[in-house]
Amino acid sequence: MTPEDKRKQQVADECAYLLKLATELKTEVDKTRKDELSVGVVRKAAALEQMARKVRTGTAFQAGND
Amino acid sequence: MSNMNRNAANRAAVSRQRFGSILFLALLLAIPSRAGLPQTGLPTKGSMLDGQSPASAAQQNLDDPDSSGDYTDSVMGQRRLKMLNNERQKSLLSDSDKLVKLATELNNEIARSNSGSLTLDELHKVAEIEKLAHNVRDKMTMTIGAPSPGLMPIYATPYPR
Repeated sequence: MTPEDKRKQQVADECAYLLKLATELKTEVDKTRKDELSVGVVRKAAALEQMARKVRTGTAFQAGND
Repeated sequence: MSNMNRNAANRAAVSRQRFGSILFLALLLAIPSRAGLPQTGLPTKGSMLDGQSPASAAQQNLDDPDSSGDYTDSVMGQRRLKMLNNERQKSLLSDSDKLVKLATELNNEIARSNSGSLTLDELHKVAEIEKLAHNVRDKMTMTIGAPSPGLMPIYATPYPR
């Protein structure tokens, strides 16, 4: 597997993970009542935010190097 | 005949005496409750039984946080909290829907393009996902009202910058 293929696979995996996290977050939000503070939602949202930042900055760093 | 007259006079005297003592007792009970308030200057709990005017009772209800005057405020506050929580929940649902939509679009685009880097449009989508996730986290931590049982404290996750 060439480095380019690895990179493609990595980007695809990261985006698939973003979708998985977003879906899980939606499921958690749907389960939450309106006057409830859900720790699960907060954790999922934090993980999604962190992952999105990682994807964005990782790609930006690579684009800057290209 | 004179005995009958005497008995009638006695009965009249007794009834006058009884009426006088009842009147005296009534005055004795009524005077301190009227006179006591201005002298002591200590207002009692807002009730009309102590000889207060309705206006002063209402003023006391406003001044005293424990009184029933705050009932309407607390009801309005509860309604406001309920409304805010409803709005927050709607916003959370809308944000999570947008997140799933954006992530699905991004995933489809990546699968279609099959490239090792993201385009500008895809980067915008990732940034939007990041922003929405941050909003969801903020909105969830701003839940208003009584805490749920078994709630754990939430600490901010440190991110590498």
